[in-house]
Amino acid sequence: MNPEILVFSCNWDGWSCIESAVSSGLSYPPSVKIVRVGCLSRIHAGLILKALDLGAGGVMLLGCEQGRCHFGSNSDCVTPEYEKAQDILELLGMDKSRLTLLRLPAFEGHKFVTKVAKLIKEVKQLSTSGSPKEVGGESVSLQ
Amino acid sequence: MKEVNKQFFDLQSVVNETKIRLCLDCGKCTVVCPVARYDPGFNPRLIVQDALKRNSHGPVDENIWYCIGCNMCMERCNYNVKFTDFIRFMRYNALSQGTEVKCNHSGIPHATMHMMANRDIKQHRLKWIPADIMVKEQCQTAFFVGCAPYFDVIFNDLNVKTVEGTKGTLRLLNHADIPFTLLHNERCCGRDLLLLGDTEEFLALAQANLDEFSAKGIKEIITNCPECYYTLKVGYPRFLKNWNIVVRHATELLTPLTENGQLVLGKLSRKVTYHDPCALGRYSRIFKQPRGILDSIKGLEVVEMTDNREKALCCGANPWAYCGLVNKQIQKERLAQAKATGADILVTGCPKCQIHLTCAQKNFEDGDVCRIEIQDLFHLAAQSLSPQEEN
Amino acid sequence: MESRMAGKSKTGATKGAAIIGNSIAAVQAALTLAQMGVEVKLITNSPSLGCDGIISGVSNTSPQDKRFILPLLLQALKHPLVTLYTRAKVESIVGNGSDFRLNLVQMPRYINEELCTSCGSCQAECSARITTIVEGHKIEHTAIHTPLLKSRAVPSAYVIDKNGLAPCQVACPLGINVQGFISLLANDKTDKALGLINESAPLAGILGRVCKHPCEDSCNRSKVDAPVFVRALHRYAADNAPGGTVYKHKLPPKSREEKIAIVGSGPAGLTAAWELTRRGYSPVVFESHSVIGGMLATGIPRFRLPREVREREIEAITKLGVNIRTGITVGRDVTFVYLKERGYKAFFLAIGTQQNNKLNVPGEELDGVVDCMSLLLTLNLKVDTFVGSKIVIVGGGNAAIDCARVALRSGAPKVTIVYRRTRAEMPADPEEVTEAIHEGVNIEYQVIPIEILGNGLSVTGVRCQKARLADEIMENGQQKPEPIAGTDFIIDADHVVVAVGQSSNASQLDIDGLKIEARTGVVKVNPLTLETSVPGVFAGGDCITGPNNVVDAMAAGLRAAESIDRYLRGNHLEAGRSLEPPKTAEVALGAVEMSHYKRAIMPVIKLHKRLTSLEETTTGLTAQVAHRESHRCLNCALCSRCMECVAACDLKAVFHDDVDKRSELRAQAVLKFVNADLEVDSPNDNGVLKLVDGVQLISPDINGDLATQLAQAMAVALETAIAIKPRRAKKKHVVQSEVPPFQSELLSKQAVKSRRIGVFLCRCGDSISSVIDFEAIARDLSGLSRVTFIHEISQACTEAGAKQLAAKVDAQRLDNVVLAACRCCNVEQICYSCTDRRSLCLKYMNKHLISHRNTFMEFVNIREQCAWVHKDRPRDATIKATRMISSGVSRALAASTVLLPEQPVLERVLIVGGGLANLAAARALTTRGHHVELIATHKAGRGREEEDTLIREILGQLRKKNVAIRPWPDALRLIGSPGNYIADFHYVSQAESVAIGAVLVDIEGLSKKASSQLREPSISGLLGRIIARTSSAGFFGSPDTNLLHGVTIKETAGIFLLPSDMGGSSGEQILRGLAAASRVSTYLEQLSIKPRDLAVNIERKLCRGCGDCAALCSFIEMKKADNGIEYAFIDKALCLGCGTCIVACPTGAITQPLQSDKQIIATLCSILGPEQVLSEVSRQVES
Repeated sequence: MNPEILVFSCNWDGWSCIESAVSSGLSYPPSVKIVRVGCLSRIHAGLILKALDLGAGGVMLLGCEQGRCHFGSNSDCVTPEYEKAQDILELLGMDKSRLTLLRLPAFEGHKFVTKVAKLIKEVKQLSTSGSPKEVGGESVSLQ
Repeated sequence: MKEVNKQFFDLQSVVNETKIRLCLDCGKCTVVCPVARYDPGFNPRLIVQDALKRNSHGPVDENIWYCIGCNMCMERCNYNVKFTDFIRFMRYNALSQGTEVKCNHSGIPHATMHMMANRDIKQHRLKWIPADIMVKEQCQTAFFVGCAPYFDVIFNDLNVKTVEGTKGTLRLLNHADIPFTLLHNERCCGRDLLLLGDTEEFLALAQANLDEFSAKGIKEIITNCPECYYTLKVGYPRFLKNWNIVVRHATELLTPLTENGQLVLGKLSRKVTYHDPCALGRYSRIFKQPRGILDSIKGLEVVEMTDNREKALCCGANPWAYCGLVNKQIQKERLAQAKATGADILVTGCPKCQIHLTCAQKNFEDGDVCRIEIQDLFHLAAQSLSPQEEN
Repeated sequence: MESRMAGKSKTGATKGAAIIGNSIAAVQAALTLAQMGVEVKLITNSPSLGCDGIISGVSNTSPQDKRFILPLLLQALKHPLVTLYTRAKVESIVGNGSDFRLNLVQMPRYINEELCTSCGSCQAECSARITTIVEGHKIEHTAIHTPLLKSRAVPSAYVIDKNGLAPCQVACPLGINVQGFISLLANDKTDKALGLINESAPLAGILGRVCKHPCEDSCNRSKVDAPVFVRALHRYAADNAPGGTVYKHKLPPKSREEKIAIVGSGPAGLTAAWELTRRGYSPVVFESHSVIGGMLATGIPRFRLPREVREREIEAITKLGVNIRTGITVGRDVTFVYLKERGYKAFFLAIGTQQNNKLNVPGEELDGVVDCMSLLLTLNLKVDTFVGSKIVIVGGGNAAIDCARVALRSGAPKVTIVYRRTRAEMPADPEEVTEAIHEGVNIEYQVIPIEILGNGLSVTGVRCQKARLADEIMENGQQKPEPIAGTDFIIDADHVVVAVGQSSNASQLDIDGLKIEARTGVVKVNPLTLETSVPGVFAGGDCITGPNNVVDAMAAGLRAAESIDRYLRGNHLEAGRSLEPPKTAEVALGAVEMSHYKRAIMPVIKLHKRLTSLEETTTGLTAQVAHRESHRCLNCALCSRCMECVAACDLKAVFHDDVDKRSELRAQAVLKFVNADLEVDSPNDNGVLKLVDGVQLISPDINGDLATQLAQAMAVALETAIAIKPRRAKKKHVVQSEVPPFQSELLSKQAVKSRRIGVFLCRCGDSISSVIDFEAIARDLSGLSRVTFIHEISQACTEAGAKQLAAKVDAQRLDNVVLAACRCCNVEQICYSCTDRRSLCLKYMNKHLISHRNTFMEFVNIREQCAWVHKDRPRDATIKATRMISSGVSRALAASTVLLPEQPVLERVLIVGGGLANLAAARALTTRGHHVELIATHKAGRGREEEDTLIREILGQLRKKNVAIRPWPDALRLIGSPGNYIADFHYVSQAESVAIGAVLVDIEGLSKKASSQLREPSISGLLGRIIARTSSAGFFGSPDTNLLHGVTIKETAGIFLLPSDMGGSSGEQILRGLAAASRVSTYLEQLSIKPRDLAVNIERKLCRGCGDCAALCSFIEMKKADNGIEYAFIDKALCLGCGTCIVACPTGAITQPLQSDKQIIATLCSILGPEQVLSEVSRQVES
């Protein structure tokens, strides 16, 4: 049973990758669910956490490459939210690798499929074998 | 809701519980209410009347979300009608009707609290502890850290370091040889969810904490966070069965020691003014202890703002929702009061006050009357011990 | 097939422009012209335009730029003023300056562009797999396929590859679609294969055994190894089709009165009767024998054509309703005259040959001398007839061989054939001869019998003489054999069979005036119509040719039937008919993928078995071998016309008989775009098109990138528009909605409780429903509260589909619709992934549903995202689809769309900066008829000679046109809302302000200005913010990127930036200027702008005025209220809807009506988590 993966994809290059993956006959597991937004910088840490809270095993942020934003926003608004979410996950003792940020040029269907497969693999390891961090709990040593 | 008794969730019992019927329409509450001051549309009396008329049916009055729960009203109410409790109940009602709440900060704080409520979560929230702080592995006294580590991540754009306050407290405790342990998997106390009316999630958190405490055999809890303090001391006993843990605010332990000379603080030649957090002041009536700490710092000049102690103006806090224009005005007013004292530091004991007041200084038009350095009480006190440790 | 909108404007009044070419530039020009109100006819030779097909014109297109091509195509080709002519070739252009006539030929597509939704159902059924070489490597695909093979294209309608007629079909006298039935066999559709055969001819089981298979002789595969074993496959179909032989009527039975008499039930007679019956007649067949079938019954021995097979096939014919009267000899039992009296209107004489030719040697009358026909007849029909022990057969035709082999089987120990010539000359089928020899028949070649010896009573032997081939040539073209004296010898024999041919005796029919060839006795006919000398009497088969074969006889039957039909209907007998075989397909064998199997071998029974019974010698191919053999076919004609696609298409969009279409277009201007590789990619033009005066030939700048090409196209388009469509400043009434934005919520919270939602599932032909279980979905969704109606439709992206949907919405009183199909968003935008059908889907839904009902629609893509990507896991795909649809429902419930007012656009433009590009733009815009306000320093340029002259020249022209040219102000402020700006100019002395609709700024000019002046002109307001951001960003700095993004982001602000200097040469600068001008112009000429669906709203009460949003977006302005409180403000018409500000806002004051947090979270709730009851989900989101 594959863990559920939630992909927040931007409507432009990101979505084009997913679309061309399908049209070129590639496929990814049905456990990969995709939510489209106009621009990846629309997605904030709150939504990312919500997805994980609602049971997603992993979350992928899929968007255009830096400087290629469809809306021409050169200011990178995704990374701060991405990092914030990762830091919170860490505090919550969930492995950072559950969240990944992927920036691709348009129509890179193959890359999308491989990356999403990679994410599934990692999340699987966390939930089955369990990363030492996730089950081990506190790593700070106390006297 | 099964395990909790009915009284908090049904209108009649809440009406009795909050003595809301005793309201005389005198309007004193409205006079002192900081929200009402900036938002004419907000009027505690009318909210109550309206609510009783509608008997919790029909569309929700948006105003209930704008109460900042500073308890100023109750301070002045001759019949101490528990308005804030009543608001909390109405919010609970609204939520159960499926009303959408406009969260601040993209709802990150709430999402985090929800995730903490998950029973099998295994947090790693203690990474920040520096080597110099002594923590007992086994101890019946636990120090309750609260959400400071989370705050510093969530509000990193404000560049607040609320965890410094916690560090400061722990150093002071060490200095005073008060032993304590820390809990790996402590949860948020849940106050914000409770205030927001999300009682179910609050209970989940409270229960999780209780289990954690009992598992570790905790008999006593010390905390520096006013909100945690009030929630654990007053809230938990109300909502949780068999809660028998002593809860102390750090100042309750430390101030006596400074007075009887067992705890000697260092020197800091600064001019500060103390801002009473609502949860510590009006709610918990702890006014003098924090000041006691400040007084015991040599060279420190402490001045009071026009509104202080019972009358202290709230930092405009709220449970991370509906914080907008009005709150900003209140915060600006408070900052202006601080500035007016001529102090160069506004000291507060509450991480949330720190956050809100810092946020209020983030302004499109720079350089106005509200710029003042904000520091945590314990961080300041600890600095006096070893100034070189400032960070 | 005409293009999607070709119907609208064919010829008629000379209007608009014609654009020839399939480069992206051509498309851009079409779009720009259309946006300026010009009717455009876009003529391309390719079946569709798409990324791969079209881009050949642009030498260096970066993959990144490629993104913009499809959106551009969609916008252009979906524009109501653009008509696309695909597969079109302009044969000639006549006319001059402003009135051209183009003669257009459109090659058939075989698919109706209007109807085809490219659902792919046809492709799934297509039985012809062919290979095409694309850029060096072979691509295998079906004959019916997506245009440009898989790459996304517009229109997406399918196309069929055809290559004339396959040689086999041409060679077949019956015109059987050989490639067709073989391709069906290759796909194991045996019944359909037989059905296809029986469309053209009956008696498949017989032809499959005894046909002389001209198809195989002409098969292209023999150039590779050996021909496809067509006859065996023909037989395989006939013998193995589960459904057996069922003939179809063309017209209802007995629908034609006229009586027809057919004389003879041989192959010719039967076939004629069959065809006439199919055409609704009720012919009567008169057969003199007691058995039906003529030679089939009496001439062809059972070991070659078993009785059961014959009877089976004839039964099928009688089942069809053919009436056969046996035992009646016309001319003896009934006379021709009598039949005429009885009202028979037409006759077909198919009497074959009855008279056996004699040897004309002594002793021929002796007992034991028989003719082959009677021998075959007796051996075929009677049992244990006597045959001698030493039997000699004279002759070399099939009859002789058959006699020999049948004699062997009837127990003759010694069988000898004597033949006058060598084996090479033998008329009999070689394979039959081989078999005969193999079975032990002894053949004496070049031997002539000169006397039959006997004992006075019966035969004892044959005296023969050796022969040689003389030089003399006989009329049949063969060398005459002549006996060699003194070579006599005797062959012992007790039984002699004479098999030296037969001849007809039509005279016995006793028909007055029937002309008969005296020497051969055959009936004289017109070879084309088969009409005899007697009107209404037709003849065919052996009786007009002499002894021949089955297939030719049947062909004659068909030909006669056609003639008789025409005769009885009084139509011309010859019109449109010819004996010329149609030309056959040329095949480049090199390019064809072919199976490596060798020609199959027909299995035969053991020799001893043959000699002891009349059992059929051959046993037919096994299924496996037949399958393999069928794959040897090279599909010479590409499409095999098996007609499976026609059956598969719900929309009846396939027309195999589609033909070239000619039309005359009229246009005021003609632009011909030459592709970079000079026409090579457009064979239809061959570069030979004669260009008359006034036709503009645009050849792209070879090393220009995409942006340059588009710029060029825009410039050309603008000039054309100016020339042919003078701008009339018209006042479009703009609907100013009374309600201020975001007050009039269509879906208010109260409404939610009573909301009725309909879910529609698109089958997409069958490409979705074949994978996804709609019933299961309906079951699960019915659990969702608010979902009151779930309905399946075949094709949502058709106008019919939209109407159907709209009707249901009315009938069911639905408030919202969730459509699960291939479209993936409900936003008015065209993203890189959008497709022809998706955009059409929205177009039709808008037309019939959304626009006038204000029905809120959510779209869920369950085709690519479920049915296709998870096609191998139908169950999971179905579950996922259910989840996704329920998320659509949640979004519908969580949506809060609003009516936003349109805002009028002033047709006035402010141009800032006096660079060459800007001035060129100013000039163009003025001539276009827009009011221009220009800010420019009078003294020109940067000291480049020719550039400065140009600048001075243009400034002069502008002054003549009284364009107000302002000096640089000290301060310039732009305020107001898009389309209605106020520009304030502040000079030391005075200040003035003008109202404008758009701004064109020469950034470079600005900085130059700054440097040259003491004080930099302070530019504030929106313009200031945009320039500030631009100079920091660098992204919008390049107008090229800007221009490309203009394709997908519709310009909202109407503020265009243009560094005059980036191009270098003044020519390039002017080009840029014109391109910019054309963008300004299209912006102004839209007359009104409507805020986007995604435009954000900022709630004052929650705004803390922190300015985080404004720091990210130059469209957001920080304002200060009277009480000194700051707040963020955005004009909704400016907002692009990216939503970045929402994330930046700490308080949640900024929201979007669509794609709100509420909607996104609702979506998450629906698609994530364990298999919970969906109704719970809906409860969660009902808030």
